Amino acid sequence: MKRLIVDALDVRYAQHVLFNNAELVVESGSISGLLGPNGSGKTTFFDVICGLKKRSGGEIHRLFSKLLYLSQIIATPPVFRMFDVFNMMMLFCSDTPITQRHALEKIEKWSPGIAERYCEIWKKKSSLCSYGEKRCFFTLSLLSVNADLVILDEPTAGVDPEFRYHIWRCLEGAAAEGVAVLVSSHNVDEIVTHCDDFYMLSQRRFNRFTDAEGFMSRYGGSTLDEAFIHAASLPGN
Amino acid sequence: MCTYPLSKPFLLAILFIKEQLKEPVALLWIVISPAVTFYLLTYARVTGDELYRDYTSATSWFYAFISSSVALFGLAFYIVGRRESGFLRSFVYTKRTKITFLTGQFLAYSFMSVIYCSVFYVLTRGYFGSVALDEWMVIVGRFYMCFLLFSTPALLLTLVPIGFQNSNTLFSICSVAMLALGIGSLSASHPLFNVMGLFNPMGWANRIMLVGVTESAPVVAVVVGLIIVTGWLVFRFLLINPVWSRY
Repeated sequence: MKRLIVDALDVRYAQHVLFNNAELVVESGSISGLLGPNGSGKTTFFDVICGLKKRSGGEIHRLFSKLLYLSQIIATPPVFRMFDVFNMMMLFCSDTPITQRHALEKIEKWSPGIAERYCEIWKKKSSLCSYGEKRCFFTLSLLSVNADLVILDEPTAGVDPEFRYHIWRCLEGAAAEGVAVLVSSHNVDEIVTHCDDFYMLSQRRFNRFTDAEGFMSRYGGSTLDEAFIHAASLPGN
Repeated sequence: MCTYPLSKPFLLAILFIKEQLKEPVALLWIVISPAVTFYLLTYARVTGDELYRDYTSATSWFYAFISSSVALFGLAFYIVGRRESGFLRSFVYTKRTKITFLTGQFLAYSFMSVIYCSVFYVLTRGYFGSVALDEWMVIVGRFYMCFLLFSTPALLLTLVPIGFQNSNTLFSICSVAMLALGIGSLSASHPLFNVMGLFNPMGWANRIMLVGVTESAPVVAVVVGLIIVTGWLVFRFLLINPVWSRY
């Protein structure tokens, strides 16, 4: 089985320690969530995996052949329609030509009913699309590429409930076909509900959980959000 | 199917050209403003001899200036813009995608440089007589070499970690300074101007426009060598994250 193994990761900025001996594993065919307060280093961690930031110590073993990463920042040339954006995205992300039909077949199979809204966005001018529409369009389009590791930085931020539903259905569909998904979010509930396992970034480490009870019990909260707040306020964060 | 990776920079270049043509204001300004300036200057100093002046010598500074504008405000400024808007952060984070992006960008603005040159030629040649295909081809060849000459400093400026507005200011300063120094050194006798002129790409571009590509073989060899080295440097050190971003 293919795995992403992060072993004893150290990341430092000048005097600031972001990760200290942090460990995390993502396996093919599963969705792993990543929780953490703002500024805790989730995006930096993704940058480290993608080779955009250097680590101070530790090892990252990436046994996957094709990694795709959707960053928080999504910028599209405003004069383009979204099908141009799609074509541009595929030039960077896919090793083989991907058409709208190919993308629709995949995402409609994973989440029936999404095709209509996807096609509406397809024809829209980029400058007229909302942030949520762009995020959804990017996420679903990326999932249609044949990647075996997909990293998504808050894909559901600013996305309406319908699109959010379809995004998670598609993530689950992709995972069922063997894709490894690492996804961050500030919505604790959706991470706990949809992920096979999830990590809380607290005290410069990744703490692994598989269910809500374990998470709430570890951090002494009666709700998920309360547990998150306790985890985020621990000394060393 | 196996040619798809090789065709990516060309397909990307087509998209970039489409994007540029959908924003015609920049195209109009870069070409129209020198053409208007050319006619104003010609009108202001017109004499009996002026009308019989050689077209190339009458327009060489204008072509040199336009080629610098295409390199600075087309090729390089769009790289800065794509970085600062987060476009590079969204798509370009591997060696392969960097090559695709930089090659596509370079191809797109190589094409655009020919368009800019051709539009200026058509707008100004009529004043000196009718347009001619062979002359147009010679001028395009010289203009493209000037574009390559300016591409080296322009691309190196994209490696400076400054934001969008500051880049705009820096590029404008470079553009005006090169032009002022180039024209100023024409009538200046102080040796300092001669030394500074040696390092002024605008002066060299003017020379290429005047005497031709083959006649400037040593300069052309340096230009080609520099653009290859610059291409590698930009590939190696391309800034991906926006400067405004804490990442």
